[in-house]
Amino acid sequence: MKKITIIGVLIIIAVIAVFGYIVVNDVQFNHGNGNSNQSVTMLTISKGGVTINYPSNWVISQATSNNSIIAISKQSSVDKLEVGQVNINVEKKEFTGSFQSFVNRTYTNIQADGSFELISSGEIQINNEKVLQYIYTSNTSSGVVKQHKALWFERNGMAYVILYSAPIDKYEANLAAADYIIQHMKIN
Amino acid sequence: MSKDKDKLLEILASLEHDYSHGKISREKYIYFRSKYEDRLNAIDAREATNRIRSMQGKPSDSPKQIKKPIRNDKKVEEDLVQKYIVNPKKGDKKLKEKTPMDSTTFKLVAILILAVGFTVGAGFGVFNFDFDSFTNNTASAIVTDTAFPEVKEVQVNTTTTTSENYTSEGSGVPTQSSSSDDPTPTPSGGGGSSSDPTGGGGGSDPTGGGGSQTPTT
Repeated sequence: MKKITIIGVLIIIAVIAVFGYIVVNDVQFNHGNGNSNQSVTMLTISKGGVTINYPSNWVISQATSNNSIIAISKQSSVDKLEVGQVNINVEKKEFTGSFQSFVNRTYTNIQADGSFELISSGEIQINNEKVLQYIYTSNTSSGVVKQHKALWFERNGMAYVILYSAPIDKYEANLAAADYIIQHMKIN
Repeated sequence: MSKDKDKLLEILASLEHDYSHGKISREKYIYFRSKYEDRLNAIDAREATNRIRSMQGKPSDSPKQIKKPIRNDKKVEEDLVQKYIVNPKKGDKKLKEKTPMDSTTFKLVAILILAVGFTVGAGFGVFNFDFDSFTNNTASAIVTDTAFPEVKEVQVNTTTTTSENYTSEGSGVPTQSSSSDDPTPTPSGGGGSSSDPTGGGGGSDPTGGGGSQTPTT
């Protein structure tokens, strides 16, 4: 009887401890972004009605754009000047006319600039929501060619855009992680 | 005879008492009870037989003959009681171990388990908790990428160019013609390829040369 009681107590303590560890601590994030064996903790940040669950090897950033709500950068891509090269930036802007024409106008202007090149555009679905996707490259002033994926959608009369940007040679490597972050993003 | 019966009943009562207080196991209780009941039944049967015999006018069994086996049985009973039924002494440790847990003890053990489990679990969780996920909200990088870049304005260049034509009459008065998208003024003489206003080739020789510059003698 005594032995059974002691064993029971130990089992219950072990179960509670393991449960507490799993629930309170973290969820293991093993996403294929180059280091598939790397264990990364998921973090959360909310700002301006946007909630992002992002892995701990990304950091919160300050965007220079006035339209930016929230931005994050991959930690390893931040250079000496503290400028992130692999970024996700969520922006919003008021628009007049139809949403479609507003977005088209934006890319008409961009295409007129020789430093931008549109690769593809179309409509996709993310979390059962239709969004406009534009993929294009740009030449930065520092000479780095960056590839961007912009996902446009309308919410409360505002044009929202989630922009994933990375140097062209790092774009594909970080695309899976970026897509994961985008898919788990919540915008009120 | 009835004394034996009374004694047996007394033993049975004692057996019941011991069993109800947990002093003897169930197996022993069942064993002894069946044994004593058998004896009681035997005594009853004997009494009934004697009664029938007396009614028939036959002599009953002599008590001496009966007493002997009873005495032997008594001894056996006492031996068995001494062998199996042990009255526990006060402060006996074994007795304490056998005492079943009451509800208060169970409650205390349950509360203790919950308290220890909660403390260990919470402590372990706090020990492994990543506080950075809540405290580190400061920006540690700058993002220059935007979906609304400042693009260079598209400008349509309209330039006016002036070209001078020299006539073969050598009037020396150049005629001007303008054309767009040609930023450099080019004097056109015949073929328009020569920029030599003094006459170069292609019929634009103001001196009237036939296309080749040969010195005249």
